[in-house]
Amino acid sequence: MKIIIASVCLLLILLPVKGKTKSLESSGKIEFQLRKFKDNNDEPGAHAGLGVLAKLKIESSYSFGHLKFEGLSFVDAKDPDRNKMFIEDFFINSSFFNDELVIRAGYQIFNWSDLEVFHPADVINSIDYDSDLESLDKKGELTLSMEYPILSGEVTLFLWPKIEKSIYPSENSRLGLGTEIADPNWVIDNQVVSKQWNNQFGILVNQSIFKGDYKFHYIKHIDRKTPIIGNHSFAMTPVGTIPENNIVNIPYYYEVVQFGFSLQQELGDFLLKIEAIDKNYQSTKQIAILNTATSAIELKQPLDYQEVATGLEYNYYHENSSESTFLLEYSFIPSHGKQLRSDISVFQNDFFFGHRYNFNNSSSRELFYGFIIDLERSNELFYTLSYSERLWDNLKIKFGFRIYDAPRKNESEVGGMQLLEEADQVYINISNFF
Amino acid sequence: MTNIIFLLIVILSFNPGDVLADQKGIEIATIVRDANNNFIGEKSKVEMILIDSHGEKTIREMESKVLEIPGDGDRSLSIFLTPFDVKGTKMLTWSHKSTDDEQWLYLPSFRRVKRINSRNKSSSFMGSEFSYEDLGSQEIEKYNYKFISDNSETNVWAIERTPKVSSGYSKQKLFISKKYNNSIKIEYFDRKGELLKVATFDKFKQYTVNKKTMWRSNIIHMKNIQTNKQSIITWKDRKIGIKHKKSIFNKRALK
Repeated sequence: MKIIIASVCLLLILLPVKGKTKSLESSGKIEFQLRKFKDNNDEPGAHAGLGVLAKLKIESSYSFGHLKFEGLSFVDAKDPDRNKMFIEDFFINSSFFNDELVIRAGYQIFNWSDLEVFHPADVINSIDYDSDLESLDKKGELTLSMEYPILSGEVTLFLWPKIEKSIYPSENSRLGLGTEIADPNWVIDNQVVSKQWNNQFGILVNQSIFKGDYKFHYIKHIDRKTPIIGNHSFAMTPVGTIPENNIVNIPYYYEVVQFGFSLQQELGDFLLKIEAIDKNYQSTKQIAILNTATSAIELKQPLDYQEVATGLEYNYYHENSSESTFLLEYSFIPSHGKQLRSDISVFQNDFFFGHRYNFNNSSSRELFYGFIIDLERSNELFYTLSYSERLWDNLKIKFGFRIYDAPRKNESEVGGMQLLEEADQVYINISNFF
Repeated sequence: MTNIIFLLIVILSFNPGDVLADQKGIEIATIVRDANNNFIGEKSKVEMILIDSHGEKTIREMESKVLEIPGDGDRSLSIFLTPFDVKGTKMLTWSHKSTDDEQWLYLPSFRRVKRINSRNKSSSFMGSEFSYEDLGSQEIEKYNYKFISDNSETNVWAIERTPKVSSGYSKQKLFISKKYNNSIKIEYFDRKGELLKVATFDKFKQYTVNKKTMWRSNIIHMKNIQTNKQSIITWKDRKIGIKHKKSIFNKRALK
């Protein structure tokens, strides 16, 4: 299989070399990012970040197709553990049969979500967890896809031959788990493996009907959303479970079969959005994990679950030609009990309200504020406010704060947003686009 | 008795002059449509200058492609070039003859295709005084028409149109040049019936497609009477009669 994929990639890369260049464009940004976390009585860790993000995008069209590269690098002067560099997109796109069949090969980032903060259907890419909880940054995934039009949309077949590693915040980070995370392992057919090459498949059907866009998907892949962090090598002794070498920081990602759909539908003055998934894990392999509250070692295996998120978007135009967008969203995991639900996702029964006020002026001033409230775990609230403005043609400023108001009440039931209670921050980003 | 009263009301409210005015209004709109259709497709670079109430100017640039769909409304694709922070943003519009248009926005930073509610067409286009509705395809079937005047000295018809589908305006007053078979001025009235904006069309240029000649305005100056803000759109390097592939006006082609 690797040989077939390598041959297709090579062929698609060679096509533009043979073809005539029609256009070449580049763009990107240099962004200075400053963030300061709330005072935590000088406990060890990174209390601030001062970094530079560089993003570059190059697109080129040839007579045989289209080549796209987009990548980023980030360097932090105050917290070097945050330094990173990775590819977001690097693919070649070729069309055949009068543009009907589109074949794409290379690294790609996917966005299958239609909602603003809850994204159950968006599962393909590995994640950079050192980013905003409600819109986590993603890494490109090596993909071979074939897309063909059908009815009022298209059907796309995917092959993902390689599993990308997620990026975890260091043990110093306020956004992390307070421990260094080891290299990941994958659990396939109840076997733990560390090979990065493993075939994963998917099919996506996209249809636009009755003023709505509908997406249905079936995926068999390594789930990158809900790892179990612990150790699969352990011994059962009369005094309890003992993990090998006392190591409990290895993330295990399980093979999963997922069905799901998402839609955007006009509903009078509103835009209705729904996403739903059903996950069935293919292995029951148990992992020894550390319960941080009780310091006990417990055994854990993934739980099949369903997740539904729904939202409404409404636009209102003010007389001064400014514009308000109101966002209401709700996310729910109907399976399992309260504690197990919160182990699966931070947003297990949560409501979001957001208001984006667009001044609609020449400097694109925008104010956004919103909050997420957990409806079943009391006193778990996240609120955010941001303001952005273009200072002049290429320079933009954005600043704001993010507050996790989720104090730990019962140390044996820590979960949900409580894991981020130390991550309150103010930030300012200044971006120079080119 | 009730039937007689109802019949009297119908007869008394019937004004043959209104019917004639409606008919003539539709006739003029049909002349304009017929003079401008069969353009096949269009491609251009568009510059938009935003002028705030203090006279400060900002420039936006985009690339525009339009495809004529026989029997339905046009399809258009706008790709934003500047400012650089929105470069690569794409807007796809499918106009329809008698129902609301469909519109999608591709946001490159989120890699997301977002459907725009067709009721949102009164929203500002890129922070300008133009709304999405102003720049969309103006299909005859979406309006009721009324003839107002025929000025033989200036060779300009004046007609009024009121929307049949959802709109940000209560009515529009169009001043149509008989020479160009196009509007040279449009007055937009808000939902309260007050004058909101005035668009003036300039720099008409003649194009020939399959031996048919047609005129297009290459500058539109939109002035918001209520806020005193202005926007000027200029078409550059406009080519008409371009045979675009239908596949580029598709949601899948946005990504």
